[in-house]
Amino acid sequence: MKRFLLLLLMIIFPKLLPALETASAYKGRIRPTEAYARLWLYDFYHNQSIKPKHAQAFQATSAQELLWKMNFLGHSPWDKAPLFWIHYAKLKQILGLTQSEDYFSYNQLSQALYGDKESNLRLVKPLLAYQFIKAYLDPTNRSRSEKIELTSIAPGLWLKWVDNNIIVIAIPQGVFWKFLKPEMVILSNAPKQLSSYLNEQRMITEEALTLISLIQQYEAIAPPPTNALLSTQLLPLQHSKQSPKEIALSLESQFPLRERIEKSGPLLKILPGARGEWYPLNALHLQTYDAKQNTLVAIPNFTLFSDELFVEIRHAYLALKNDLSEDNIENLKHLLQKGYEALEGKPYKQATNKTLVYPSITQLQAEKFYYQYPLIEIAIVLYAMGLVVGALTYAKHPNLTFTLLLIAFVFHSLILCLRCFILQRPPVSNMFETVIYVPWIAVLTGLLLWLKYRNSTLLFSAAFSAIALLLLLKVSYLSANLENVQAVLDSQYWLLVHVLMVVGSYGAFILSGIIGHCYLLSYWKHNKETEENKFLSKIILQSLYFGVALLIPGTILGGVWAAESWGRFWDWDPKESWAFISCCTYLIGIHAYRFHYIHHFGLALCSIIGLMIISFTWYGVNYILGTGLHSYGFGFGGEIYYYGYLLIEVLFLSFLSIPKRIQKLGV
Amino acid sequence: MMKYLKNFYHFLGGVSFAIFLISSVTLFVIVGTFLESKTDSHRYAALYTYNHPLFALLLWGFFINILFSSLRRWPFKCRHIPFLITHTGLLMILGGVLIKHYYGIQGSMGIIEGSGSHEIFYPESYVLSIENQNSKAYIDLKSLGDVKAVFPELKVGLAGHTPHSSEIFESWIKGNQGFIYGFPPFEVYQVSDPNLPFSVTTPDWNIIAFQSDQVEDLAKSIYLRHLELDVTPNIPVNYSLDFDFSLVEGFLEPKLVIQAQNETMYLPLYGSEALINKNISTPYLGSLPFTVDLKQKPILLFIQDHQNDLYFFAFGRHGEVYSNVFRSNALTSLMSYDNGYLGYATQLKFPCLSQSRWDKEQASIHLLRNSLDEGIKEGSPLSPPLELLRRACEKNQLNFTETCIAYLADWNRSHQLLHSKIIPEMDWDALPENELKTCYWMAVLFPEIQSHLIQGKDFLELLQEREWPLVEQLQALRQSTAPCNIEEIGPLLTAFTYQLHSISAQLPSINPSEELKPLLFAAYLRLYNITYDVIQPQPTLTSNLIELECPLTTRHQKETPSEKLEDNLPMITLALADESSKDIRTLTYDRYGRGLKWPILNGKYLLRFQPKYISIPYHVRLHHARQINYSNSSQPYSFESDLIITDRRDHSSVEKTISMNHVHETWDGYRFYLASITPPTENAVKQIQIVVNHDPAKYILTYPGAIILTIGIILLFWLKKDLS
Repeated sequence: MKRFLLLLLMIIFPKLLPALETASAYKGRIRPTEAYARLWLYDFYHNQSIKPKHAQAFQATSAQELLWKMNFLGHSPWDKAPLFWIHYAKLKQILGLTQSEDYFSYNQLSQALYGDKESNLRLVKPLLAYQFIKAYLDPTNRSRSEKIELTSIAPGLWLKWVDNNIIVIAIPQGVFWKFLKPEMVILSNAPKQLSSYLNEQRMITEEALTLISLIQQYEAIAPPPTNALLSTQLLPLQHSKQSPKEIALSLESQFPLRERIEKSGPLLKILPGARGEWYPLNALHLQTYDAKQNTLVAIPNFTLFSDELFVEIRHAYLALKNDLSEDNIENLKHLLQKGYEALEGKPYKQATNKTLVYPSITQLQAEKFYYQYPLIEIAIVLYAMGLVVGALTYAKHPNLTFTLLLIAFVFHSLILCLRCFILQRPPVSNMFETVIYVPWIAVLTGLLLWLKYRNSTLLFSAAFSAIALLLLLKVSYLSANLENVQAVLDSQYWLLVHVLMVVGSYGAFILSGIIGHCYLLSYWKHNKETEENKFLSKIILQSLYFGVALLIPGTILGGVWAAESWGRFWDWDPKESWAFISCCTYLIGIHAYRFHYIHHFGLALCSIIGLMIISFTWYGVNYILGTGLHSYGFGFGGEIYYYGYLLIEVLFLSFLSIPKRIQKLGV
Repeated sequence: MMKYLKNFYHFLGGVSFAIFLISSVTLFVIVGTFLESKTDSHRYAALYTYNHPLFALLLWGFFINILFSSLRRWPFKCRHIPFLITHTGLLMILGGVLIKHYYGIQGSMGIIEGSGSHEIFYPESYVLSIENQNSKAYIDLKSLGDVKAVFPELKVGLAGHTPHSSEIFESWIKGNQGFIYGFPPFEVYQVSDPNLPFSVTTPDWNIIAFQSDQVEDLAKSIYLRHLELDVTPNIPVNYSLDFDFSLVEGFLEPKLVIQAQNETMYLPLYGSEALINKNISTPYLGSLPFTVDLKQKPILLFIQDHQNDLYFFAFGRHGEVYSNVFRSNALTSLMSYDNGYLGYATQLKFPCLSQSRWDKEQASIHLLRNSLDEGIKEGSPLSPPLELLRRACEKNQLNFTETCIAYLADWNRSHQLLHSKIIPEMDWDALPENELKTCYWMAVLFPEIQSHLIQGKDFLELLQEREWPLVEQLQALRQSTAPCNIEEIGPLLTAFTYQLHSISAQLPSINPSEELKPLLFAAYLRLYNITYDVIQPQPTLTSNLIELECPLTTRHQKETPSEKLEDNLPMITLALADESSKDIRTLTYDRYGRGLKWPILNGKYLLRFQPKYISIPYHVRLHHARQINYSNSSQPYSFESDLIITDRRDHSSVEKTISMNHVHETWDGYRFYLASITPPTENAVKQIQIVVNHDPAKYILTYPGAIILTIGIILLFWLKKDLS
């Protein structure tokens, strides 16, 4: 399978395949260093590559170049570079930053965060008030204690209520809290509705905490560690005539080697160690005490590489440290690759019933490929081409449109396969993946039905749904990154089948919904039921059947899975409830149609109402119902657009269906 | 009549009824999801929708509609097959769910690593756990009369209840009385202004309690009220008290600052150096020429603020202080008497604060004497000045240790840089020439430096005037600008001494006059940096701890109930009676049934308001629980627990590792599912929650129903035409 995929890739993109790539661990996954560098940069810069206008300030043109340089030089040469992306206007206002700018340097931000008393307090006060009120209202605060230590963000920082004010009692060390004083009022005249205060302040608090954490991450970036402390400690020990063994023990107790390795740098965790741990490249700069020679020597092998290769790598590292040239980086990377080749495919972490293995180099290459090219955009363009060509030529060459859309579909499949291959799981574990998967099913259904019915509306609707949903991906803030799946979803085969079926049914429903629109438009145009329309309604029925045949068994399978895993078949959880509501909506429609309560027009109407319900099940449950205390990060105004869609849909339906009724009455 | 019945039968099995039912259920569920989203409470939504009788009625309507719709097609024909299959499947699933609801088991089990359990609890149930020394029973709140079956003589009545409450532990102070075992209850004064000239008389046992938010000020005024200073020699002094008290950590560095004769000293009031006189105006000259001792009335002081945090203070008879902070509802210790039947207590330990400054200094001298004696006995080498003294003492038949200590102590009290007293005659010729020369120079210079310093002048200026060549090196040593920081004078003098020694060869000789001779020994000691301050050992005097104990009780407070019903803790008040006595007891719901059981009716019974527990035929023991993370991150990859599951009927055991989504099922259908592991840190002892469930209908109805329904739907949609 892997070979096949690689072959496929090679055929389609012979020149695009990236060169070999080194592996490194970042945020719990082993990734190609290229992907790591891009994601790392994105965290600060909100872009995976450096914009040309910033290249000079960054002294680098790519994320990787910046990463390697910063690893050796520490952060200070970049303190003036506009590395930090802040978009939230309120945060900029609090920090006293220019509203029209989006990029800020470390120097600007550190000055605003803890150089300037006023802006520091403007930020810190609401931050603390928010955390305090949250802790105060938390159900674990059973006795409604009014004196609380903010253990989550600042252990040692105590606040209390005095009448309606929040007041500081105790302050820990730390740059962010240095302007606080005991008895300082953090929030005066707290509003009565504390929970609505929390809702108002949640966004700014989260943004501020993210920024603080980024600044702290940035500050931790330092040049390779020196061994000066170790050598200054060694001298008196040697003079005091202790035996080498005693010296070794004493030094180890003061400077435990494991800790020194782990803390030798926050960047480039590129050296694989035992038990799946990865160590920073800069650990190669460390020295250790050697009892035999009674002196400091370069650190011995602590990686999974062979001893000979380790020595080579260390030499290459030291050469690179002295001269940050492209050749030296390539040389070091080459050696690291050589070491990694011996590891690929081997297990590194064992749990009951499952094992994590080092990804193969092919997987790493595929991942690098995934990040390097705008795959989704290409898919959109391919679909759009199919749509445009189809609109112009379908009447003469229907097969041409089909072929073009088939090519787009194959490319679309490739994106899904790529994700499957890299992550070794079906692509339905997060919102981003489902938004790729659903149009894929819609197009698949469309193409299959076209083969049977040869109706142009099918192809156009399929292409339209694909373009619309893929465009939605680009304008939304959904993360396209390749990440680990949550432990609770990392599970059996049946869960996957359940999700694939239920989410797949959305594709079929979307297709039927779009055809439903076509039906209504055509009905409105001709003002009566045409033969073409009857045919459309047949297609609608078929795709509804297909959807329902996926949705109902899929939902019940979810119940079976829940019964197997949690011991309850059904619990009216919001997602379950809305799956039930969707099932019911379509069942009403199908029953009404089969028993002749409604006809073609009603079926088309039902497919559109069903589409609205499905959209709520898919999006609304996560993003609108979820807008409680437990879901942040969703919908920067996403809800507004969604409500907009619903409103337009309702207007559309009333516009098209009311005249019909009036007409009927008139007859 | 038959016609109506028949019509009704067809209506019940008809599609219009079906569409009505599906639409109404759908509306109900939509309302339910929005209610749940608004209140963040599944139980709140369930109360009005999913658990509502009307909703149940609709579901039963479903059951009847599906059943009748099938029966209506009697006699069945070939074309009915898909329809019948689909609707049989639906009926089977509905039936399976109903049977699970009425006859299944679904509960939770909390186990701590190393322990085990065979009881599971139903999280949303409310029962009263009653036990005496012989038996135990769970009584449903709705049928309190059932208590008779287990405890025939006991009567329990519900006297009141509220939907939400909080429970607060009360220890030393309850209402307006304070309690300590072995003492009569003492009064608690309500004070809002700490400076009020209150007419509070401390009783003979010196325990005093307040309710006030002015904790530090109040404690301070109580302390000062009984404080007396004993100054030797008797000179007038000014003093001020710096309590340095933190509401979070208690005393930090409390001290009494004393000023007299242009000198300042302070007495730490807390810690190992408490009550030692510290010279801060001229620390380089040793002690000040006067000593201060404190006299205090020994007092135990309790102050409770309105947030129910309790601050305990102890003031010793010599003025030493001690404090302890008890946060409300965080117990520092818990004792149970006779497993709770005789109640609970909490404890407080504090040092008796009986040592005076004199005790501490004597202990220090004692320690110094011992170490010198021992050093001499073992023949370890003494530093040159002490060796010189030892030889002189030998010659004059004096006790070296006593002489040495007396000399150093005397020097310390003399308030001089160089002490001018020497008892035995020393053999100065034995000294190396440069050291002797240095000592002479010191004897000349130091008195002058001292007089300079006492006037508050910078002694480096003096050196500059005298064109001391190395003054720049000294300047480099100090951090502050002129005049010298008092703290820096000592180190600078030492550095200057070393400079003198290092260039003594270049210095002109000094006429060894008799005037200078008495100063020589002190100079020699300084050259080796030996002063009383430096060599004085710090003895750690342990004193016995005093233990106080008080009865632990709870106070219950009515709270506004939250819309999120899951967060509410209901409170009940029970009237209890047996043959001989009556009792009233208020209890707040104990969510996990793990808290204290409270004694009632003079300790005959224990009572707890908790969820319902039932026994299952398996005993589950948790051997080890762990969270395995992805590489270099705290993102969990797997949660796992090693369990030993023993069948209580035949005592057979299996060892099983369960993980998230990987359950263990016994042969008779009990399933164990790992719901959570806390805390996530690697080294802590873990507690896990296991969901235990038993579904009798699963394999007979629910799962086959699901398969049949799926087949039915496919047949119904795509095969019907072919069949007809």
